[in-house]
Amino acid sequence: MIEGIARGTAAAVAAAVLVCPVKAQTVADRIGEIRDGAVRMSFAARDGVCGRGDRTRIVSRTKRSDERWSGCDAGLIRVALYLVDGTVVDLETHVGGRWRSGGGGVDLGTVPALEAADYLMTLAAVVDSDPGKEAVFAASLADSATVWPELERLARDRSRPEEIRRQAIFWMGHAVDDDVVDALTGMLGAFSSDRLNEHVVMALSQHGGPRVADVLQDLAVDETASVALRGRAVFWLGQMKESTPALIELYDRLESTELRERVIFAYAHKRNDEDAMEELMALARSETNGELRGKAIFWLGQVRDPRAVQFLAELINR
Amino acid sequence: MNNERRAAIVMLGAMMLSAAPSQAQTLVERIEGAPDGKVRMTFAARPGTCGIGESFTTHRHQDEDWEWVCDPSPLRVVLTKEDGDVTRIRTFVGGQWREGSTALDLGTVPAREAAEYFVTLAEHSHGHISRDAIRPATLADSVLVWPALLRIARDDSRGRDTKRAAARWVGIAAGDVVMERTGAAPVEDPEREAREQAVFALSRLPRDQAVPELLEVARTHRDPQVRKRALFWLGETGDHRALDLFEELLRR
Repeated sequence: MIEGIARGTAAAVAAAVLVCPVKAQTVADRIGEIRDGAVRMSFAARDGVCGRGDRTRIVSRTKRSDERWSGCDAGLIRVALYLVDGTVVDLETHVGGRWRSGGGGVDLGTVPALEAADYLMTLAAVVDSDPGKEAVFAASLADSATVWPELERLARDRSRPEEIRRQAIFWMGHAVDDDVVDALTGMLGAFSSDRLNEHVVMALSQHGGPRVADVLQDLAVDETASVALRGRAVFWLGQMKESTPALIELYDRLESTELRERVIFAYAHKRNDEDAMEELMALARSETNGELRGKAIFWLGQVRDPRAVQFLAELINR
Repeated sequence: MNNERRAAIVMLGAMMLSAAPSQAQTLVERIEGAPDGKVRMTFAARPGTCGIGESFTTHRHQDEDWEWVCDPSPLRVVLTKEDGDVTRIRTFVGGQWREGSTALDLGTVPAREAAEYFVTLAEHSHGHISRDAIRPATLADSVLVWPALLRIARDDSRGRDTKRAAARWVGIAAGDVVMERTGAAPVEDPEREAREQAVFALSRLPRDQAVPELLEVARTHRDPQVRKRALFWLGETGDHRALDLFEELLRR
C-alpha cells in the first residue's frame, strides 16, 4: 500500500547524481526517465546480510551456521520503487528470494551496488516518511558501499524528519568501518532531541568493540550529560557482549545511586555470565547502600541461575 | 442466583435465625429481601486494620523514628444486587457514607454475622464475587474465618484468583499467629531488611525451587518476622504444601 506522498522526485535525485562524469546511464538516470509505475532493481548485498521471509538481518558468519539462522538466505538486495508523477511514493526492500513473474513495471535488472547505494542515499535526502527510511535501510545493505558519512550528514540535517534521522543513526551503528565510532562519538549529546541522542548511544552499542565500551563508560560518568542519557549509556553498555568488566569498573566510578541501579540491572540481564552473577551476589552480600543492596537481591530472584537459590537461602540464614 | 449459592445462603439464614432473638431479621434475610440496587452495611474491623477507602492494610508499619497511627475504623461494604443476585462487592475502611444515595443502608451489623455471610458467599459463589467476598470476611472483627478460607484455597473447582486470595489471607493469618506466639518485641537486626528482601526474591524463583526454601524459612528461621514474611509469600504461591503448613501452624 502506498503511504504518504514524498516531497522529492526521482528526477530531482537524478539531477543530483548527474554530476557523475560517466556518460553511461546511471541508476538515477534510468529511474529519472520513469514517471509512473513500479521500478525494480537488484544489487549485491554486503557480507553478512541475509533474509528470512519478511525479516532481514545482518548476521555474523558464525551465527549463520546457527540453527536459528539456518533459514536465513543470503542473496541480492531487491528494491521495488513506486512512482507517481515522477515522485517516489513507496519503496520496498527484500533480501534474497526472487521477483514474482508478471508483476509489471520496469525491471532494471542487477545494478552496481555502489550506484544503487548512491541513488538511495540521495533519495533519502529528499523524500520523507517511510520511503526515506526504507531508502536508508536499503542503501545500508549494499555491498562495498561506505554510506556512513552520508548517513552522518543526514542524521545532522535538521531539515529532515526525525524518523529518517533516527534511521540514519541506527544504520551508522551497523557500519563495518571503525571510523564510524569517532563519528558517532562526535554526535553524542549533539542533538536537541533526546530520542536522537539516545539513538546515538544505541548505535554505538550496536557497533560494539572495546573503544565503544570506553566511550559509553565515559558518557555514563559525564556529569555534564543528562541523567537520562547517562542511564542509556549504562543500559547499552550492558547490552554489549563481554562488557561485564567495563560494568564492574563503571560501578565504582559512578556516584549516582540511580545509575548504579542501572548497572545492577545490566548485571541481571547478562545471561549465563559468571562474572555478572558473581558481582550481583557480591552486591547482595555487602553493598553498604541498602537501596542498591535491595536491588541486587531483587534481581537475584529474577535471574534463572541455580546459584541464586542457594545464595538467597544462605543470605536469609547467615 | 445459582441454586447452590441460594441454598447455602438460605441455610445460613436459617442458622442465623435460630440463633437470633425471635422476630429479628437476620443479615441474610435483610440482604435477600432487599430490592435490586445497592445495599450498604457497616461492621467492626479486626484490630490493626488501617487505612482509608479501598486502600488499607492489616500490617503495622514502624521504624525507629516513625510509627503508623491506626485509629479503629469500621468496615463499610457496598453490595450491588441485580435480578436478586449480588453482582459487585466493594469494601472500604473508615470514612463515611455519602449522603443522598438511593442505597439501602442496613446500618451497623454484627461483625460475626457479616463475616459468616461473606464466607458463605465466597464458598458458594464463583468468579469475582467469590474472590471479592473474601476480603470483608477476613477483616471482620473477632471472627475465625481461616478454616473456611483454607477449604476454598484447596478447592480445585474454585477459580485461580479466588483460591489465591483465600491462600493469601490464610498465609497472613498464619504469620500473625507466629508473631503472637513469639510474644517478645522483635530483636533489632540490621540484616532483617536484607533477609526479608531475600525471602521475596526467593518467592520470585520458579515454584519448584522457591516453595521448599520458603517452607524451610517459615518453619525454622530464628526471626519470627522473617518467618512471617516467608508465610506471606507462600500464601501468594497457593501451593498445597504451603496450605498444609498454614493449617499446622493455625491448629497448634
